[in-house]
Amino acid sequence: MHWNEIVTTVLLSLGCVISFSGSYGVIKLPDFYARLHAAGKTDSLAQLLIFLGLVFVTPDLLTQIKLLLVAMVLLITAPTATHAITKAAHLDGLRPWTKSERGGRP
Amino acid sequence: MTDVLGIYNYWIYVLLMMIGLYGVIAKPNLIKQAIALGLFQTGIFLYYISMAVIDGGTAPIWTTIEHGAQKFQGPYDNPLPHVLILTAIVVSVSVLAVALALIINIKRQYGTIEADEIEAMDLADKARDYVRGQVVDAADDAETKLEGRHHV
Amino acid sequence: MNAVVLIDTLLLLLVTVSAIAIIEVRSLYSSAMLTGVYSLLMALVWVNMHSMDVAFTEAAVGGGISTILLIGTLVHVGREEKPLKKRLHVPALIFTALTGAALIYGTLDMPRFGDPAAPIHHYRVPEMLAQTVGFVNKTPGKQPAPEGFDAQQYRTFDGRVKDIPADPTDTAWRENSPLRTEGLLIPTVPYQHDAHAEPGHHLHPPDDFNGHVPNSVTSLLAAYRGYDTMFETTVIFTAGVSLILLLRRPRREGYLQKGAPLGDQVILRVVTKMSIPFILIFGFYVITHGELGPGGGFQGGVILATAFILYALIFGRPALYRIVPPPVSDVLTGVGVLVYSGTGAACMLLGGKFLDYAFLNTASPGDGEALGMTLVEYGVGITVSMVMLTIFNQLAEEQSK
Repeated sequence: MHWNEIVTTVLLSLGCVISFSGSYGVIKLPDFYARLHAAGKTDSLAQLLIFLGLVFVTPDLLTQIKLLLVAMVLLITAPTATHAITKAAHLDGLRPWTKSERGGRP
Repeated sequence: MTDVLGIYNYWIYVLLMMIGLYGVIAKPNLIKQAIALGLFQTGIFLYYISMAVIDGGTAPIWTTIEHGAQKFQGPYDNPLPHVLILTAIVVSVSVLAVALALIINIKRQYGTIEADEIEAMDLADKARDYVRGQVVDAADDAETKLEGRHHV
Repeated sequence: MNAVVLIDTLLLLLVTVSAIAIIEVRSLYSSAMLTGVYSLLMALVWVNMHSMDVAFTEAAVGGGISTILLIGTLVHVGREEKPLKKRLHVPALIFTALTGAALIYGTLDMPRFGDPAAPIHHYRVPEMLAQTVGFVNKTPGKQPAPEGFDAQQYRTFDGRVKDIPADPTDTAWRENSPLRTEGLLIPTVPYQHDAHAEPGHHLHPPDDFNGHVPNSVTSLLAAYRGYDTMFETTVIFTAGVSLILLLRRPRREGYLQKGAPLGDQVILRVVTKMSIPFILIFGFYVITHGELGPGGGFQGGVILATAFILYALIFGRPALYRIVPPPVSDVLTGVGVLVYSGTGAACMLLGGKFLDYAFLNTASPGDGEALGMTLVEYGVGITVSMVMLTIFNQLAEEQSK
């Protein structure tokens, strides 16, 4: 395999692992804020790794630039969306879960 | 009759359509019905688009050039179903928008958006009007009879 | 089992699961969100089937606008469905099972998925793709037919497929059909007209298709089915008008004094101000570039509307009304349809039939078609964006007691 294919494989697998752990966290974590943290990781970090991985196997320069631009746009807007949801929940009165609320069990 | 392996995907699309149809019939909530109608429509679009696919084809955007260096050798997909479905998608969102506006007006008028409660209210109104009509007719008859006796 | 089939199966599984979830979930808010997920997954399925324009439209319209409309309605209507007495509605189940069985019985006669010799790929489509429609109908202004051109072979079934048997159940001929191997190839179709004979070919480099529009979906949408698309735009316009008639209330005093709901949130304000110019540029790009790649009037119009809706969500609808006052957006919904039919009328004034774009540029009919399609797509884009904005405004109206 070429070096760029190896780099792509590594980056794509990392992205998939982070996506999967984010999805698992959304299901398993105890609190709204914790779940949103997991989902936000998926949205910002995993997509960046996947796009970077795709850049290395694209043959022409224009498509590579377009991929990087899309990754940049998502890097700006996805954390903003997560922030908006969290702020809305906070302003609405939702308070974070603490371990003592339910006897220490999630 | 073509063998199952070539047409089983149409059956999955029929399943999607039927899920939408079930939602329209079975759920009394009007918004659920509007959403399920959208599901039904999208299932139909999927069925239609799948008829346009050709083995080894690609998106129907011409990339061959007459005397140029790069020549695409394979077939293109059939573009006509794509055209028809494009307009159908926009029609479906227009239908959804008008349906939602009507639902908001129903909510303002009736106070509920469950179809069975709305029917019950309509029926109650009809019954009330009928009973009132009966009472008014009976009162009119009694009054005419009284007047008759009075004159006598 | 290759990768494409695997991805397709996975996507269809997710689509089916989300469809069942949409129907069965009690919270209407979750249903609205799942509808967005369903639309995006469906767009992925269509990308897998190489239908880029349709996937683009579904992602923009289903994933974007539909979700906003549903959530806007849920504010007025309530968030939860009343719990049903019976979990499963048995008569509906039986009815849908019977209908599904009837439809499956109907699919038994269909050609297999991806069959290049399927009847749908014969007759009209090769004629259109070989760009001989002008010869066949003897459209004035288009180039005359070359010597020895026999129009009859395009009137009937595709001339390369010979000896179709009369019995519809006898389908063995499809195995030997030349379309089975060639598919819809252009321009190596043997009956292709000589591109050098077309007037204006000297104005174009050899790889430019003589100015004809490369995106065949946009070309069919705006030219071959031009009337269709014009009345489509009218349908969208009608939807906007009916929303206004159904929901617009006389303005109470003080409606313009509500402050910006999220305008004091620094991060949201800054990111929105940064993004809106790019969203607008992207919307115009999608409308204009729709002839060369996936895109077009509908998709671009929806993206333009998204920019305005984002502004309204962050800075408040009074701020939006200062930028796009309701009279302006009302008038612009009609202007789009006017641009569309105006282009058609201009073609008539220049000597052709209604919506015959070749007359817009007498030196090169290909360029005329491209120009006509651009104007028409802009008309569609204006109408679609203003109607989506109108619909959002009406649905986001506060409850007036």
